[in-house]
Amino acid sequence: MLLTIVTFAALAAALGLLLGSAAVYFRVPGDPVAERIDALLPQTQCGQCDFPGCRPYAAAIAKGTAPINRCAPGGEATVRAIADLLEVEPVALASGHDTADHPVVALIDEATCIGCTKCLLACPVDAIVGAAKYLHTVIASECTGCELCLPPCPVDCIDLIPATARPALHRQPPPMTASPPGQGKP
Amino acid sequence: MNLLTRLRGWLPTPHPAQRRYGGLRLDAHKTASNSAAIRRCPLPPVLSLPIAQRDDDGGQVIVKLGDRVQRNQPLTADPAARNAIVHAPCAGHISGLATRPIAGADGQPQPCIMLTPDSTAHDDHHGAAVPDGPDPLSQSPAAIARRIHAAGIVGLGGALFPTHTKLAAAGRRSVHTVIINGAECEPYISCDDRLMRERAAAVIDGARILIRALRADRGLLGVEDNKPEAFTALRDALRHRPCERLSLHRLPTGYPSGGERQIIQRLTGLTVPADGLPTDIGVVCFNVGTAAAVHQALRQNRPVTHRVVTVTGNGVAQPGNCDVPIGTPIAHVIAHAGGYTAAARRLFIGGPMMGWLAAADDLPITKGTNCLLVLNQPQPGIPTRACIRCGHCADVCPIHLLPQQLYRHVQAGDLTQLTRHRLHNCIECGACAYVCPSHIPLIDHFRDGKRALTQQRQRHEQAEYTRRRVVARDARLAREAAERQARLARKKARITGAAGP
Repeated sequence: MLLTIVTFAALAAALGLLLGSAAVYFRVPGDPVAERIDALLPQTQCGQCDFPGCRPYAAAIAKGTAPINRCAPGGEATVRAIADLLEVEPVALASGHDTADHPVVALIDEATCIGCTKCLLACPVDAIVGAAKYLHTVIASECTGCELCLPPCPVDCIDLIPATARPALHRQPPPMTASPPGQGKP
Repeated sequence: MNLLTRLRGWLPTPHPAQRRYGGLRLDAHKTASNSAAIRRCPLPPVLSLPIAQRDDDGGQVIVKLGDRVQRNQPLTADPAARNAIVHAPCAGHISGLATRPIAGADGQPQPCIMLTPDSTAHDDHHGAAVPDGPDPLSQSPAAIARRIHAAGIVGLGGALFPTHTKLAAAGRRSVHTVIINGAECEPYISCDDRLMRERAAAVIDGARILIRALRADRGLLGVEDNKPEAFTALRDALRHRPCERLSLHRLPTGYPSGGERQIIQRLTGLTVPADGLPTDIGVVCFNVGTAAAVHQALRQNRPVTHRVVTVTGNGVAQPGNCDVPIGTPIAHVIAHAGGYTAAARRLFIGGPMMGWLAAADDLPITKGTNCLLVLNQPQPGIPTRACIRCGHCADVCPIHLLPQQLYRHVQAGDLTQLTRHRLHNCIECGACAYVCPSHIPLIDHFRDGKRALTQQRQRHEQAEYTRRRVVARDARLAREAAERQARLARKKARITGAAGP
């Protein structure tokens, strides 16, 4: 009887020590689930999910305080990917969160720009360069097309154009009629 | 080498001839073009030389608009030795730099150097050059690779991979076998056949140099058994200058026996791992055209400025093979081959199986253009029907994929399943589409699926890049806020300190 108690007490103490030290030494900083969700999001930083960027949204999903279907730029594919990761049922994209098919980037009409720096402050990815009373311009390769620079612009000089700077991102039409290899059957 | 591959090495391997390879037997259609000698194509009014080859980003252009250039003069420089250098096929002047579609790169516009040949250049652009430089067989592998880089040699079978990069990558592994690919299995094409017949000595010598450049134990030169003349020519050339490391092999005719993985399997019995490279099993494969180009570059000091192109099909008046300066428009080459017949309707760049339908015939020839195929009006279109799951496609697939499953997943847009079913391993040989009784253009669907996979990967890369920037930005904003706080606190302390007692 005593032997049993002593054995189990010793076992409990040893395992408790082990678990306790593992919690200290193998601690993962941050929230790994949130980071994995963040990696699935398109990083547009557009805020259409009502969170100030992709990372806060990912953190909210990880905490369970946000639904998984709020990412408009990611579309159904992202919802599916998050559902796969969290092992929940995929849901339809929230209404009002329609996804734009073609990648776009912002373009500043340089003749109209007054150099107010308001878009610079709004840009979540630092894709706009410029200074007060100097011309601003968008670095197309950095722009995610989030549209956050449009509302602050007092002279409405920013347009969204198709992202030709990254031609590989364009989905080409299926070449159903164009190239029939194996159809030039000898 | 992991345990599994080691275990597999201990198992008895079936003789190469007994394995099931998939593939097809096709009508060769080669006699129209392989009976006449290689003709020399005259220079066009303007050459458009693509700066980049295929996946590389090209070197730096070192000529300016209006510059005069000599024949064989390099037009680009590449200090990092990652890309292939472009040379002038003839004397002339640089008349432009433009982005235009070429006969390659899926018809996407590519930056090109425009070269207007001199009026006197027309006679000598094919001529032999002065032999120059030391004997490559006495040079070190690194020196050979440097000279190959300087000559702008790429995989002339169509892969366009810079040969010096291949040598460098293979040099880091131990390579025991060099394979020289003379299979040329695709119907209609005969440029390698004619090259082996007419420049057998060059092919053999190039193979010898490549074996030396890789310090390989042996070289295997494989030729399909429907090219007996080429085989005889190579055998005679090998007898004339024996090389104990190099041996000549007959391959059974079949499509696609000339694919890199396929020819390695047939000649050595080794299988290249699905996501690996031939160097993983100690093998490197070169096309016979590449071997001949190595000979030309290192023995005759001639860089890659011309290539042999098969011009054939029932839509061409005089089918045959032409030695064409790189950058020549397709229309010029076809005009040299007697022009189109009245019935010509469709122009393929490449062969009937792996080539693609050209949108226009003013595209310039690249280093990888091996065939121009002009066909008559197609037979009245056979409509595509639904897949009946007969499984013929899986039988003929040379890499043992499941085309009907891939087809389903491409249609469903299921990229996860496409990756799981290894769509990225598809070599687009077209055997599945050829046997499909429902006439489904499978390769079109697969190319579409591959594009979708590539786009997904690029989107992920872009997202990851942006994510890192956002993290850096957040850190910067936090730091700036903290600094501002500290500044304000200091100021407050100063003011309160000054106002105090």
